[in-house]
Amino acid sequence: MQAKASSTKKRFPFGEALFVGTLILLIASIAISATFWPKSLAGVVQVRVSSQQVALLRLDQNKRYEYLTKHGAVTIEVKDGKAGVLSSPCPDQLCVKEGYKDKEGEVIACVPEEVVLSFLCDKAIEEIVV
Amino acid sequence: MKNLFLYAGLVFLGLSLLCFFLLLRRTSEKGKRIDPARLGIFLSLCLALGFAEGMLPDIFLPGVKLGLSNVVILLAIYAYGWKEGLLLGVLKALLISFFTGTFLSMGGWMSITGTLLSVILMILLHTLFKRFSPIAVSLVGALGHILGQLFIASIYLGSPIWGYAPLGMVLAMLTGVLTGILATILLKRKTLLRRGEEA
Repeated sequence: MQAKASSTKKRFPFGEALFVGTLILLIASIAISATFWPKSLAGVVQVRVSSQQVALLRLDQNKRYEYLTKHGAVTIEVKDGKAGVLSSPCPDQLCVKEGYKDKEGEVIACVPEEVVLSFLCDKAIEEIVV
Repeated sequence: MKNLFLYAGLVFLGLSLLCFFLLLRRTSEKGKRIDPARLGIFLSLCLALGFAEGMLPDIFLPGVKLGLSNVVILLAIYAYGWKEGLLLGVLKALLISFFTGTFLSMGGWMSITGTLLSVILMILLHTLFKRFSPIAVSLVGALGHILGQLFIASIYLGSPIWGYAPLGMVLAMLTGVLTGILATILLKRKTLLRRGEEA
């Protein structure tokens, strides 16, 4: 029993190493391309509350917006071409800690309040309106 | 949409109870009956580890945890067989969402879908490639967990939430490899592997 176990242990698992290696490479390439892909500046922010689109906010005017959510109201601030969550009733305040963003394709989500801000380019306005 | 989730929840509850009773009557792999006492010990370990983890602070994002209860499910799959692993996964998903009071809400659905998808993927990989060590299986399970969670989140919050997928997958990869290493260390202790022949 012991000898059998040691003989199977010694062999290097090539198949498994290949499998794990390709998986890790795949994920790493997805993550690296997602973080280092050159992004253009966003023009508008789409606000969704509970998966429904509530508003498209222009990023070129400084303003504060308030939306009613499950446990209160979430305040979104647009400032100097950037947008972020100013205050939220959620417990961890992770959406507030994410700060202000302005690149196309970025996302700020507040999961407990079901609020998602997604940053879109200017062309997206035309697509959504038309 | 909410009604659909309510019905799905009730169907899941019924199915899990059915599979619990059916599987307890059948014999597991290698011709031995599934032992309810052993299953109970594994399940309580799963739940206790899940709770203990819930009390620890999150690593980077909310809900990013090591997945220690996944180690128990991995051990059950490797040491006893896929049926016990599936039973553990279903019962753990159901009971954790009951105990934390998130059953039929978004958090509960995220954990149920994540756990089920990860358990099913782990069982598939383990039965397809018997030689694979717990590290590869746990890695796939962790990826299945995050993808299942993101799927439910995208239904509740809208599709932009998939923007968190790359970060989530990288974190899942790290935690998956860590839990896999932990399971490998535990599996080397032969007392775990004995199927009660001495008792």
